[in-house]
Amino acid sequence: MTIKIAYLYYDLLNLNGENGNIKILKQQLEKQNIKVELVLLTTTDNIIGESYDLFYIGGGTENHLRIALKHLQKHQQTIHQAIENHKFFLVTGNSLELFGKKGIGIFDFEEQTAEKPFQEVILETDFVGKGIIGLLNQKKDIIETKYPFFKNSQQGIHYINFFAPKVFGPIFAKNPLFLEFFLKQLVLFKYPFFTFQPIEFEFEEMAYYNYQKLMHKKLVE
Amino acid sequence: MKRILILILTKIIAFILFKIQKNSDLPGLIALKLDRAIISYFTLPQNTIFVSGTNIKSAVANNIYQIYTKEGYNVAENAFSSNHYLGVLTYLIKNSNLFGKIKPNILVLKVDTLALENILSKLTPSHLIVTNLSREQSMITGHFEETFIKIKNNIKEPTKLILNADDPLVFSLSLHYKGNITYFGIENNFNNQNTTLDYDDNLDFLYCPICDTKLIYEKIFYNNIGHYHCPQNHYTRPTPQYPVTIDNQETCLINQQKIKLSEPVLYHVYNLAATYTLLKEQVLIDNEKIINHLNNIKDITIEKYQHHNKNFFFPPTKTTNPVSYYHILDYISKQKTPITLVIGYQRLSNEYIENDVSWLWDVKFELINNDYIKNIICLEKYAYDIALRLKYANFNPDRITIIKNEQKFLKNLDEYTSENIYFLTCDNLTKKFKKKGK
Repeated sequence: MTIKIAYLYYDLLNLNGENGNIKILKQQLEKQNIKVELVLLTTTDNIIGESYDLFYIGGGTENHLRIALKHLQKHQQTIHQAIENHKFFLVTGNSLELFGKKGIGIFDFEEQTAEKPFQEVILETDFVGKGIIGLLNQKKDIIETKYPFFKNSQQGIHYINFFAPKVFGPIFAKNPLFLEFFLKQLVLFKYPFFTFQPIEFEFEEMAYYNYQKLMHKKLVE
Repeated sequence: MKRILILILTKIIAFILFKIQKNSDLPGLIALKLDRAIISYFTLPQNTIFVSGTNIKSAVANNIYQIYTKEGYNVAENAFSSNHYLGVLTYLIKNSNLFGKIKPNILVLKVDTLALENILSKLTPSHLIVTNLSREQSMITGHFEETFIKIKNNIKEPTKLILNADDPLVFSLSLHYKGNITYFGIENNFNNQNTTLDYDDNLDFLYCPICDTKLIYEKIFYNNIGHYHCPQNHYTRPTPQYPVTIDNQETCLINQQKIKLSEPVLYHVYNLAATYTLLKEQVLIDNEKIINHLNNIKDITIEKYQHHNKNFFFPPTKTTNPVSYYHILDYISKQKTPITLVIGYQRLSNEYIENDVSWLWDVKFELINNDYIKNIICLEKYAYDIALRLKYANFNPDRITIIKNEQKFLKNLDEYTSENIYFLTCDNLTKKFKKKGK
């Protein structure tokens, strides 16, 4: 059994510890005795949608997003088809912009510039029982989307298997329940009868609860 | 007249703070409240060197200061002040006369990259050294590209730039600056040359700023630092004026002359390269004397203390700064004695209340996963986040201990630690452990 992951623009879009998502997913899949083929793709490569089970894109600087977009525009059709064909995508941080009206136009969301600072958030979703922790860039706010990722915020998109919470950082490190949900969906889509070993979260859960406590304290302060 | 009165007031406050032994940026804060542009009142000496960049600025500034002092120059350096805007302003208040003239003949200021924009817009140094520009935590304070733009927009002639040739982002300042630029850089690494980049190498800047083509690397020293060129020939690493070649673990060659290395780490070699280049450019000291001084530099200032039968080591890490960690972890990975590592933070930033530890995932803890690291103690508020990161750096959970309280750790030192303990802790915790060590 193999899961093939394409890390798109690994050399451009990788800010703020988001490489951690790949490290974590890879190790957790391997613990389930699933082989992981990690393919690093960038502006010099061709993207073949059918070749991969998961496409990962991290956040980046404005200039790096611009460079990535030039390349992604050439593969708009491939990417669009892959999304519609239920391929998995995880897009973190500001890279969601690449898929909007000002990007390759797959999603019709509207953004507005807001001079608000970064904010640490805990946001609710339909698919994970506990809130998702993350760091939200509020310099560009999504004001409307048909496919919101969060229940109580417009800052992200969830459409078929396209997951784009607009939060920065290693979302899998901070949110063990989301990791478990995502990993199971990814594997079951390809191997519907897969039997999972229990996923061990030695430190993840305590880190999550600790963060919640710190956030609460910060709000009180 | 108003500015003279502001200086009198703030100098008195600085004097009182000095008498009660309190190091604070309060004089700068008050001066700024009374006059937003007060910093432009100061007249810098003809020889004023600003040292900035994400890493090693303190070490470079200190070396320049030490060498000029030993040569008998009247020189000042903000070694014990903060390098943020208010810290620099406070330092200028303390070291100027009432007309804002800085008293010493040579001034060396380490300046935080975030403060550089506002300081450079009002003051023009004779030299500006930029060591490197790379990622740090703070999404809150902006990323390296934003820092770059702020520096680019505020450098002005006649400042002479001294830039790290091996950092392609720093080199791109040259595309926007018409003034004098000199480069420093190194020719090789200690070990075999690496020419491939992995996804977790903190790849900050790898594309030609002119044509957006991916740069090709002939040599990589760490992260994206090395020898590079644009395949379309738009952008090639400049040749440093005084290239540094590493001979072996003990020596390097600068300008054909041998220099003794206090430690076989890149951090030290870059420090030597930047210091030498500045001193040669300022032409105040003979080459022979510069070489003599560099031979005696010891800039991996790992403070060591004894506590009962344990050795406490305090490497100079900057919390939330992955490159700082890279250099220190590289150093620790070369130690051949059993080590306990203590990692912990009570507060991540003195300026902001933030709990985000995403930056831990940009720190290459994989470097120290060797048999000499007997165990790692994760301390205080973010202990579980640190442990989690270590787990995915393939440390067996048996080697990881979580202790939420620093007092408990100190009480049970023998139970938890081997003979040599390296502390990678925040300033607050470091101070407490150093007290114990003394």
